[in-house]
Amino acid sequence: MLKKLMVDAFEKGLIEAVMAPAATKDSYTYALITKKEDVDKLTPIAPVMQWNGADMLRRITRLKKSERKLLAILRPCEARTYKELVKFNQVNPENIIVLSYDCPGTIHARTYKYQPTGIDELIAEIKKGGKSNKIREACKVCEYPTPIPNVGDIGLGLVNTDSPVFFALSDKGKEFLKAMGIEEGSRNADEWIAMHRKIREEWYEKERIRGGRKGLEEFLSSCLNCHNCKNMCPICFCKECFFEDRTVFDYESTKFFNWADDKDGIRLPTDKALFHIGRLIHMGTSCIGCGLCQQACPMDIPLYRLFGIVGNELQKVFDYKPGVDDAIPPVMDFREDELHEFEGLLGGEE
Amino acid sequence: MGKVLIYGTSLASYRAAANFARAGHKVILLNRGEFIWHKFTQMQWQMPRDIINGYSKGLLLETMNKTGNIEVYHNAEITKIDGGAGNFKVKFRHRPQSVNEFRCIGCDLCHEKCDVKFIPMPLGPGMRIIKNAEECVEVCPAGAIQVPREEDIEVNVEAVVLSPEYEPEGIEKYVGDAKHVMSFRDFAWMFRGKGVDKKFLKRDDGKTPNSIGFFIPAGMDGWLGSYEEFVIVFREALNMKEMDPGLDVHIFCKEIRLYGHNQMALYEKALDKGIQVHTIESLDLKEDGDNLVVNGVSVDLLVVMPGQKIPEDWKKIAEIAGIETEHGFAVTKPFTLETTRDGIFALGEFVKPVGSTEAIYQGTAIVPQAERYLSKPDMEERSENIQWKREDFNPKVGVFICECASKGLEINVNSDFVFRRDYLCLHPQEIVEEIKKSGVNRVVFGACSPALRGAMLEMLASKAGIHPSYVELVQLREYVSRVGGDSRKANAMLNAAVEKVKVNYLVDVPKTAVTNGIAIIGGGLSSLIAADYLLDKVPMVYIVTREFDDVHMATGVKGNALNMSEEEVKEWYNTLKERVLKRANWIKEDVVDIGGHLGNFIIKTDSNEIKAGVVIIATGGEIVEEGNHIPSVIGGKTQHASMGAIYAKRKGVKATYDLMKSYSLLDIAPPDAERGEGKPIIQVKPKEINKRIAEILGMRLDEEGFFFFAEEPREWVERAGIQFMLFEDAFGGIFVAGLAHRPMSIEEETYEAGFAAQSATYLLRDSLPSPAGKFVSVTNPRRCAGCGICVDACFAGARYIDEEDKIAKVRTALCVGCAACANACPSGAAIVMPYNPNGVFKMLKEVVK
Amino acid sequence: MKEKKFEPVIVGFFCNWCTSAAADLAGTSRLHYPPNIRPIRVMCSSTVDPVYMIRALQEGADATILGGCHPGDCHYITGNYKARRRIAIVKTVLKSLEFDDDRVLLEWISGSEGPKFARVMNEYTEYIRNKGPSDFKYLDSLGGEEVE
Repeated sequence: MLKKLMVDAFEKGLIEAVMAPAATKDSYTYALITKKEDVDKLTPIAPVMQWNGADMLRRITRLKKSERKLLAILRPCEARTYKELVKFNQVNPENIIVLSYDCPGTIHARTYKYQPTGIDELIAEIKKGGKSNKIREACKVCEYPTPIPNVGDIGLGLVNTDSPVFFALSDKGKEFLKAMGIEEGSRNADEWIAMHRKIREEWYEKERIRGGRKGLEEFLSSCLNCHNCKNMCPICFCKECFFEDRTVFDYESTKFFNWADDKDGIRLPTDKALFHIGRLIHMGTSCIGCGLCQQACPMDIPLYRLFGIVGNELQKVFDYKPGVDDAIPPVMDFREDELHEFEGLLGGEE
Repeated sequence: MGKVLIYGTSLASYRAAANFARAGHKVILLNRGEFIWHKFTQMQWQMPRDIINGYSKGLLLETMNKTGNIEVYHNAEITKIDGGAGNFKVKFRHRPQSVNEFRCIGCDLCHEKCDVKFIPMPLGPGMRIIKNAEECVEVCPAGAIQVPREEDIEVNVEAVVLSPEYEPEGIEKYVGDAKHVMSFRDFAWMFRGKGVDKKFLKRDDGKTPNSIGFFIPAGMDGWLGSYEEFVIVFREALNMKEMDPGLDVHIFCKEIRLYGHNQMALYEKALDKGIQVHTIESLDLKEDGDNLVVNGVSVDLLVVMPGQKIPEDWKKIAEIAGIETEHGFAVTKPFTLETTRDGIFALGEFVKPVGSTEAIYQGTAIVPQAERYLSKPDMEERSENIQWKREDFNPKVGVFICECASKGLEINVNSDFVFRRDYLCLHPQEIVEEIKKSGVNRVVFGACSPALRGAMLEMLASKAGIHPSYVELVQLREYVSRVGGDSRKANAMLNAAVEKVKVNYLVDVPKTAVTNGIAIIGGGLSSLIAADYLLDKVPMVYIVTREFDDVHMATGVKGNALNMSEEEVKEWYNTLKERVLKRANWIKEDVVDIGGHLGNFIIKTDSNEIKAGVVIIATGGEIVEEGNHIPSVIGGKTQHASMGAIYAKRKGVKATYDLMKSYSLLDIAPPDAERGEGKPIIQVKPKEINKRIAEILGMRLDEEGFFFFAEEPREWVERAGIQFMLFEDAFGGIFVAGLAHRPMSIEEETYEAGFAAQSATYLLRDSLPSPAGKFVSVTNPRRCAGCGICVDACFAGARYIDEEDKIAKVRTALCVGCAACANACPSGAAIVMPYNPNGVFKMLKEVVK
Repeated sequence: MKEKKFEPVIVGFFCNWCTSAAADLAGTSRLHYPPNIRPIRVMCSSTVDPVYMIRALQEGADATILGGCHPGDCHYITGNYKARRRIAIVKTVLKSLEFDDDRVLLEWISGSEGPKFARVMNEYTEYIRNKGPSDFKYLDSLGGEEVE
């Protein structure tokens, strides 16, 4: 159905390019096409999220706005990332139409490689208002599994319905649907969303990393320090990470021995946990919860439990929902009268 | 080089001294009292907790060091002024300080051996008065102790500025001998240095009050006061509410005298926080058991903010100077600060009751007025050609420890070269020699506060070829030996500095080439006044406006101005206009776009494009006269009453008012007005074009359409702005003056226009070094992802994303070196070299030892 | 309960215009405070990257203080508001992971508040002394197992 939409839109001249997933032998990639003949090569709704689609849009438009009318098919989490990255000047939204859909969740890329599951099976579950249990942890606890108004342009409803419906999320989307001659429809997803939120609340409590230093070290004990979580994180858009600065983390041998003396032995390579704490400080307020950090971890550390849960705490402090709110990110903003509980020793009252 | 004598110990006089010196004139500053700020002036009476006097002293000292143009005499009194403008012979008597504050290094040797009165003060060694100085001269290693022998001196100067100090009335005048009453100064003093905390709040009988009333008598029975009293009291009342929301806080006053956008916001905030403001005609004070009843309101404590009285000294100095006075204040020629005797100027509190902002404005605006009588300034900058050792990668660190700072400490530093000497600062030649001889290329000084000799030590290193980037100062004295620190702490700090200095990079301070021209936008009165000041100094003065405003009749509160007839005012205006337009480049078009930034603005109009280094916005306003009401706020947050009061007074009509009807000198004979409502006697409507200009420049307008200037975003900062940063640096080369800013009298317009003009000329040099110095921000393009976090972090507007390559760039002329960008940047692309993560990390490793 | 009295090391980042000036004034006035404080002068409270504070804790500091101008008094106008946001982030991250977030302190001390500076340093040192050594310094090391 989405493919038909793309072909029609090509024919009507409403779009000149499409970015959507496409199947590979063992997984799915993102693909950019510019001809309607190539539409068939795409799998608009894929069971695997190998990369974050918004990150792909960043690559395309960071230096120059999209010069062709581009339709991007993004999962809700990717659409939120897209919105967040626009705030950080990483994606130029001009000429881009984003379509997102009720997300059936995605399967861990490695699981899929060895035990492929078709997307139809996943979609079948959500048509009934349920959810497959094969999907990734981050998908199971997803906070916003459906398209949200003003996040992207067009929504596609799949939950609780046998006949998918389109609806507009923005004025741009409204115009697009009108030009396409598509009637806006609706479906009831409230319960389905509530189900997710409930699971998420339980997950917060159950999976929170506790116990301070020891808890964190245990959690990260198998970390390779490969920084793959950072590479996959769409919010970590830095060209070069602070924690990869060789000048900062290079020391003379004396210093290493000093550390070993002082700390009763040190782990090498150094500063593994510092990297993760540092990343939390830098991007935690904007973590949109795609969970790619966890999928990217070669050692299967459930990293989303770290970033998702701490990120959520941070976002509560600033009353900010990344990728959902129109407000600028907390790290770029301030208020004159706020956060007094962080002043002084006991929340401002000494 | 002009020569000017400034008499007085006030915010305005110190500002003026710094400004004359920076403009290339020689200044003889007659300081009353034993040291700078010894005399209790308005700021110290009203804001004893504020450090701005300290910073204004800092500005004075910095200018003194940089230009060498200021000579200070203490305990000085003028005895005679002969001659005339351009050629005065001034005789004065002075008594040197027992401890020369500019030489004192704070070693405290004299404390052991002499009879010393010590007054700790921020940003310096503290002040000392030695009673037996004659016996102590030999004690001081710095030669700072001098015998305070009175001496008569005669100097030749071209202009004289008189700025004797404010004196408050005693509070008995208002409240008699009632119990539980306190002067504002004593009240504010309770929290001085300790922080505003309920545990320090006590009234005379030791009880902690649960309700406080503040009383501002300004305007009652001709008691004099400026807006300052109101701003301070409202702010303190808010402090009290913030400290304890349960505290019952009342303010009693006759009128609400708050100008400008943010001051009125203060009033609204007070009401919002539950502070009760009572407007009363006169004070009715009764004792009621343990409490006080003030005009029917029961309070535990009443705090009085006294108004200004006329000190006896003023009469004397006026007599000696041979100038006329009105009610004790100096009479000035209309719209100037010049007294009735040519070449003698009055400044600050001597002119009329003023607040600190006005004092600062006056202290700057006086320069172009007095320059009429001064010889050509000598603006030659002192520059030295130093061959720096640029060795970023082969550090060899030398540590220089001052024995004075490291008393009782056992120093043990990881460095190849350690040099210890008593009083580093007193052996400059030796230090330079040692640095050269040892072949080190980085220096760590373990000495005292950088506020004292930091600049000097850096200079010594420079003389030996070591760039300031390669110098670190460790404050051993104030941070360790004086506060009970131990050797462990001292060594940790020194070693940290050694590690840091090893990885420091040499930072060349970038300079911006400046277009030597000024664009004045708009045809307000301030536009003409500013141009008038500038025409002799700047080769290109552009005025961009279709037309000029007519002059309004809100002349001023000073007698001469207030009593000028309408024809006289118009004649003054027409002469001014003619004089200016003869020489200025008048572009009779509206501004369409303003591009560029400080140093190089490009102003586009319909058919012209002009270049200027500085922009002055003086769009003026449209004057509407309708009724007989002195309005306070009209549709916004800006006080209009100051103009209305003058109008009502000039017209002599019976008027109505709502929040305020009189201010400053008008208090002596206020306009005839009663509370009521009506159509405004005068209203200023800001020009439509303000909106476009604000949009182009990214500036903010208030609800009515006036520009915010010098107060944003602090809530009451009209007094101080960014006072202790150089005022000029703070505005990025864009100044707002006159009615574009808020409704004001012609007198006040001359201050603002003069301030803008004088500050602008200071910025128009061949090239502007970045005010940040070695702390200037840079971007590592390899790392910058162009996210713009740093752009939002920079309050000065020094960072922007280059649309070409999407990388953040720095406008170095605007960068002030706070390093907020570096903190905000997640990838470490924005860097302030002295705080680069490498250096800080290396430092942290050692400092925790 | 501990036989040897524990002496913490506290790294203080103090802004140049207010808190460092207050520290200066405390020095000039000879107000004693514990030598446990290691002052580092920075231009503005917003100069301090939160990672610096974390790093200080990891390097062995038992606590860190960030000292800035009172809200509204920042020499760089808004620096302290931004600093407050960063501190909020650091403290929330630490708290959420059940580290001891009291070991990061934000204080507003103006240039004339020398006595307040000394008071805060005294009180905070005492507070940390009672808390005992920080175990954060053993992050990424083999040591520190027996602490707590």
